[in-house]
Amino acid sequence: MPRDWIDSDTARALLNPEDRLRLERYVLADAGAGVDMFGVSREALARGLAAGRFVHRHVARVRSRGHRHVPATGGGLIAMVGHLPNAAQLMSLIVDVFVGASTPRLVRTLIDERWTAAPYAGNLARELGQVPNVVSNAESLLSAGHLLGIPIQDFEEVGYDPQGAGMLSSIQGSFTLASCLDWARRYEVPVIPAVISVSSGPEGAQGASLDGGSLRARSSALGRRAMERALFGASHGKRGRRLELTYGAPISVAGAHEGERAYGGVRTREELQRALQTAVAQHASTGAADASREAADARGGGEDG
Amino acid sequence: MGDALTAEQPWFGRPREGKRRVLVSGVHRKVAGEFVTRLVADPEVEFVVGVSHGTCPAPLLDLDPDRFLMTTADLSRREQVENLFMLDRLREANFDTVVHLAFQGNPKGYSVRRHEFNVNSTRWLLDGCLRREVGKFIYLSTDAVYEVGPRSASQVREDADVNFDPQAHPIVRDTVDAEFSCRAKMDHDHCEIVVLRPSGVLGGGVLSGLNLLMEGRPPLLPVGYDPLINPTSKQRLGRDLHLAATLRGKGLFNVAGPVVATLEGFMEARGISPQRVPGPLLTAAGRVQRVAGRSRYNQAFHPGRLFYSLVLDDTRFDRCFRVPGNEHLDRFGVDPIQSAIEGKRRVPTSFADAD
Repeated sequence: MPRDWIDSDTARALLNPEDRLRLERYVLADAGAGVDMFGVSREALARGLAAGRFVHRHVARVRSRGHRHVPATGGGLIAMVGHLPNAAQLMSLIVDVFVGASTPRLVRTLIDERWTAAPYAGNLARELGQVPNVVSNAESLLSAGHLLGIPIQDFEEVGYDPQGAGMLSSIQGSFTLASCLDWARRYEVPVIPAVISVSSGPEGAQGASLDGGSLRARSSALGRRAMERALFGASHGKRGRRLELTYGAPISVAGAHEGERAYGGVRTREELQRALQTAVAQHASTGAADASREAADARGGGEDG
Repeated sequence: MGDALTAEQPWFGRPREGKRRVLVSGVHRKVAGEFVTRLVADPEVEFVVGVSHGTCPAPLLDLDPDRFLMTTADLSRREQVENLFMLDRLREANFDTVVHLAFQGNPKGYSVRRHEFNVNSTRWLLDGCLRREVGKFIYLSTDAVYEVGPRSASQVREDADVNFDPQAHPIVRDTVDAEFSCRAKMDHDHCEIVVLRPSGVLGGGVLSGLNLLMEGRPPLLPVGYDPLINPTSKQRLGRDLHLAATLRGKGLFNVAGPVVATLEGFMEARGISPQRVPGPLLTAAGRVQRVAGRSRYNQAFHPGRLFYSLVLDDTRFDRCFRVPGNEHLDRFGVDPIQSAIEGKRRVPTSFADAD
């Protein structure tokens, strides 16, 4: 298997063969010296995937659906409906698209200047494809045919209930539906809804109690809750919480002028709102079905046991 | 931006009519040597007049005296600039192109006199061009005019923020002043005014910030930062100046190199090992290094340059000059002017001849 550009011993040791193959298949638009125009480095991608795969599988424990909706080539706007409170969850989303889509695609996001101003962190973020939060950066990415992930702030309008989705922390999205529509129209890219929630774990499953028990048990429960708060923005004290991701069908956006596109597509903000509502409703229904199936499995397992 | 511009100005990139009569100021600069050599080798150029404050630079001494004339003038004095347009050689026809490369960019010993030279030389030359209906005026600016910081764009276009910080280095402010003198006149009917902002220029003896940094022994870089750059070379910049002088077009353009890489990557490729120092100590360490004679790079000139990426997007120059320029100058996949300079190929006197 060719893996000549994975120089890091750590990455080589941690990556499984499928992920190595995906890294080989990723097309880096090399700007001449091993990095692309935005500074993404192959070696950093290998190390990032090695670390991110662990977080994706064992920490955030991502369960995702609808990877087929992520376009194999060309630009796209991944409209994140939901809250990603920290870098680990953002990394989980990026890894999920990279390893789940039919061809490996790297989701680029706009990160805060506090990251880019910090030593090492700024370099790392850049090498993993994340760019400073400037509008011109988003435009450059879209015009160069990359996938850009943007958080949507109009949650209520698309029927998304953050508390119902298991997120109790403050919700701060960044982009309105209008700006999302405007970008998609100007750069002629589809909008792919990515609905994010936190499953509350199997019914009846409770985490370790903070009351009573030994000091070691209480410390363990405290640590678990702290980690859940850090990762998911809240802790319900239940076991089995995981990040749920659903990619909706791509929403094509019609051109600004009548007759610019031969086929249909959303034209107004209201139409985009309705399309995202459909994606959110689909996420809720599939999530509920999965939860009931899990509960049934758990009951069946219990009876079997 | 480039699409809209070329759509509005379909004549951009077309060859200018007639033979070129070019005035080049600041011929002591290394890039001027490349540029003038190209001009003299171009059959479409009738003659070139070089202006400097001193004697003729060594690389230009062996050029054909019928096609290259060297003269001396103090460009900060208006009467001497006026005299340039009244040379004996110009009795039949005046210059049709003026390329202004003269700029005193050495931070050491900066004074009001240098400020006046930097700003006034541009003003007087531009004024002379506009009054005598010179067809093209080109001013070579620098990428140091861009504001660099953690919120800088990944690819800096011509409309990015310019450094208007009152605490900015006086030489940067001089450049911005001179550039704005040009931009204020860009709508002139007869004169096409072009401002070029090159990314860092690499090459032997070039006094650009990046080149001086790499010549340091050792180059000092801040810990934890490795910015992206796309520097150009003096040969490439000479060629871009040639394209801008011989093809039609006006406005503000970035010009950059084709390769994007990290600063350390460029150093590694040249076998240079930088020394990392903590960011807050970088300026002081650089000062010590300069006092010790180990470097000529001044970190205070462009403070964010070693911390944050500055990748110039020169798509606009590509669309306006390089693509049509390739059709005009290198129809056969090679650059005939460069080949003629290198003695590998005869310069075609016409395209029919080349066919």
